[in-house]
Amino acid sequence: MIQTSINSIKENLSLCSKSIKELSLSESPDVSFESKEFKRKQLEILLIGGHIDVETFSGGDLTTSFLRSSEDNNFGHVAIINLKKIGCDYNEVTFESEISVLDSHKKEKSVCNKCISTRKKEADLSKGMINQFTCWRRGQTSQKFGFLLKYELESRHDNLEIKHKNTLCSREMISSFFRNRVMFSRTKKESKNFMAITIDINLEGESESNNVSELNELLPQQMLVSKNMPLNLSSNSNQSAREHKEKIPEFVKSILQRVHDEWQLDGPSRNSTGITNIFLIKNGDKSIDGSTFENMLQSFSNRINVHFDSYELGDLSKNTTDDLSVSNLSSGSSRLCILLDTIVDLTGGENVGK
Amino acid sequence: MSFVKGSISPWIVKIRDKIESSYTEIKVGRILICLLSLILTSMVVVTQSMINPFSSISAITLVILVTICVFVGHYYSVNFCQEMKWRIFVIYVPIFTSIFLLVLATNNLVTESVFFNLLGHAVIVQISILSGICSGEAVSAKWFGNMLYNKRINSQLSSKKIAYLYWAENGDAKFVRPDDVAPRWNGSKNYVSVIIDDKTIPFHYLTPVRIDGDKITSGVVTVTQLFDKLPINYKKPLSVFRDSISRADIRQSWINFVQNTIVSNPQSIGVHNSKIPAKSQRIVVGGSTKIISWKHPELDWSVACDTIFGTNPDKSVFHSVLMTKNSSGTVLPAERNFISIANLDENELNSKVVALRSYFSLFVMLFQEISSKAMVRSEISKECIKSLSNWYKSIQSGNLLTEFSKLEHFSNLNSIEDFTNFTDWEQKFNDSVIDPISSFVSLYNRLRISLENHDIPIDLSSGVREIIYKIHTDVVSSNARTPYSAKPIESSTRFGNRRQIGLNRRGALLSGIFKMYFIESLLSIGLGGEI
Repeated sequence: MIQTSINSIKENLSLCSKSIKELSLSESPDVSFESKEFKRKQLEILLIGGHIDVETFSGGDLTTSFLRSSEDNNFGHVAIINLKKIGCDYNEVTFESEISVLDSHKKEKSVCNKCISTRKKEADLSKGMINQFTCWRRGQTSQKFGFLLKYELESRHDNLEIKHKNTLCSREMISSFFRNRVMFSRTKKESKNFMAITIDINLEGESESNNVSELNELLPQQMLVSKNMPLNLSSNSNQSAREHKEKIPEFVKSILQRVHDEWQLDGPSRNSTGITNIFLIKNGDKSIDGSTFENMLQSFSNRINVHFDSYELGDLSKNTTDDLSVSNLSSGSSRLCILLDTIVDLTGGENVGK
Repeated sequence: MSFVKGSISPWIVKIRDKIESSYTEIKVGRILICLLSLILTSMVVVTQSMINPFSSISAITLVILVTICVFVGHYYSVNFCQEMKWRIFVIYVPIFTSIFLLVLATNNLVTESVFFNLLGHAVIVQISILSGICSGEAVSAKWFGNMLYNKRINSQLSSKKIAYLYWAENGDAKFVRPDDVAPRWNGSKNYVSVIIDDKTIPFHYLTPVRIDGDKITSGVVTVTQLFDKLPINYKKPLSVFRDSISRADIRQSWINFVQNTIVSNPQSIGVHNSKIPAKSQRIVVGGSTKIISWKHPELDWSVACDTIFGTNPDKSVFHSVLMTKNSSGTVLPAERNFISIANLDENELNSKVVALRSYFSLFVMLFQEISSKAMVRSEISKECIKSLSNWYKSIQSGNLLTEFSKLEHFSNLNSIEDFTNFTDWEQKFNDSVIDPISSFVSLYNRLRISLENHDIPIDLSSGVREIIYKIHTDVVSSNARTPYSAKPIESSTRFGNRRQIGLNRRGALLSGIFKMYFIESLLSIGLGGEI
């Protein structure tokens, strides 16, 4: 069952990634005029058949002189655009660093990879900061490539599984799901500037049955009998509920690991780093038992070097509540929010047709 | 009163139609007899009567009258001979006049000079017209062909396994045995016609075909050989029949091209060679399935429209090749047959018909471009045909056209006349082949902006967006694959976009442009021309 759940997430992530790759050939990730103009020129170059090999392309001395130029209208080629011109706010990069946009796309020693590793903690849901980046690659100010995949954790037939509820994204992305009728029918238009997965964990029912179970175990020990408490109250179901509860951390951990791997390997960019942040949003005291689950999330986050934090629903800012659609989170439920690296490629088309 | 009017009117209409549509053949010999009898009786009157009816006619009047009447008789010789409505003037009136003259010559009851003056003029008019008729075309040429064709050619066709393939205006086909028809040259309409099922139809609706089991091939060569075997002096009388057979063959080649090749086997258009018969295709003739093998059309579409079909090249292709009298505002039964779904609502039918007509016009234009002397245009057209034929199949079988039909203006029956016609496609081709990049980008942007600016149902806008992204990806990926054995190209600094676009990419760009233009046109019709 876990494999089915993982496949479902993997398939949907793959669809999103493919969609972003296709859209990024023509759609601008940023709202600025320069970014749109850059995309327009790039579209023409792509149509002509312009193709660059990111790893081996070298513009020579000529590119260096362009990178030094402070003119704003040189958006013809990624090799001659200074990284600062596409809104890079990474404090270790300056205009004089003469790093081109093309350099940032290289697999090894990319400044974009360094940037994400040092700035993961900047995401803060209490302040409404989900996507803190301002550059064209990660900022996603046009909100055309952002999405929110919403899942729900369910226990069914002695097993745990996650069910895809719906997806929120831009109309451009909805269009790219047109052929996949299942995904298309479950997608709603709501533009996002981040890429995330949420998993609702509602264990209220489980929790209640566990209380009864504890009481049921306690009474015989004290030689007490209650008419209101049947002796053989669905001992099997209690057993099963307890088992489910115990399984949750491991189940979620497997999913997190697969999501991380999938986005790293098949993300929309060659520089995709997988998961960047994990947040647990809890609503009320009856929420999932913190210690075990949170410990697992913390240890997993530490292992893959991402930022983890836990919030009460009331602590979130209004913007975050709306963005993550957590306002309708039922009492006693928790929502696991997995933020993915929002980086996209600006080189355009090198993977198309391969 | 209205009852009488109601019961008589149909009869009057029927008789009028009968007179107008039917034709007769008054042999020139009969007209000659009438003329001679008129001359003879006039001479009798001149010699026997007390008053000479021609004496009061002035020389100038006589010259003018004779010149005009001889000219009219000569020029309309064939019409006077073949049309029922003129029989009264060329046969009965001269007979009556002759009898009247004889009576006058033998009986001197009438002595008024005015009467003789009028009679003299009438006789001069009749003699002049009849002389003109006898000197005109009716004496020799085309109508002599009727007899020649039926006796010397039509009667031999059955023995040579030739039958006529009658492709009706509604798109249905059936065989007609040569012995069952007698083609006749119709002077009033100036074409050879034939009566089938009590309907007079042009003879070029019937194509001679050789039937060999289930296989049908053109029988024109055999019929032409029969023409060639006849003595050379029969050539002129038979010219109209030969022309009809040739027109029928051209019509058939276009019908086969449109109704069969474009629909069932569009890829074969890319290997266009007018000398080689196209791949065999199945057709339904009179309820049974046959295999037809026919050459692709040789004539240009515009020339064929002008000389064969007598229509505008921008008319619906189907309407033109079937030579139907129905306007483009009506959906032909043959068009319905292509839309396989039986119970379509009117909107859906309209959107599908518009798409079908646009597709036919596009393919006729591309077919014409294949024959172009410019190699680049020809190769690009082949690329486009390959790409577009598969694409249209997916459009036709998918839900997109149904989604388009939900747009408001497809409820209007006139919308089916707004399809993208031959000239539109030709213009698009001419514009795009010069600068495909600019055309592609501008169309691409226009389509995306119109999707954003109009309130279009989500399923339709998503479908269209998906198509345009796919088109874009197809263009970008064309030629993107490098052969494994190829030597890696050294990276060099090249920031400009002045590059030579290869034929493959040009073809991909042009097909993308046509696809987007196709979608844009449908969108524009559905939105009432707002984009």
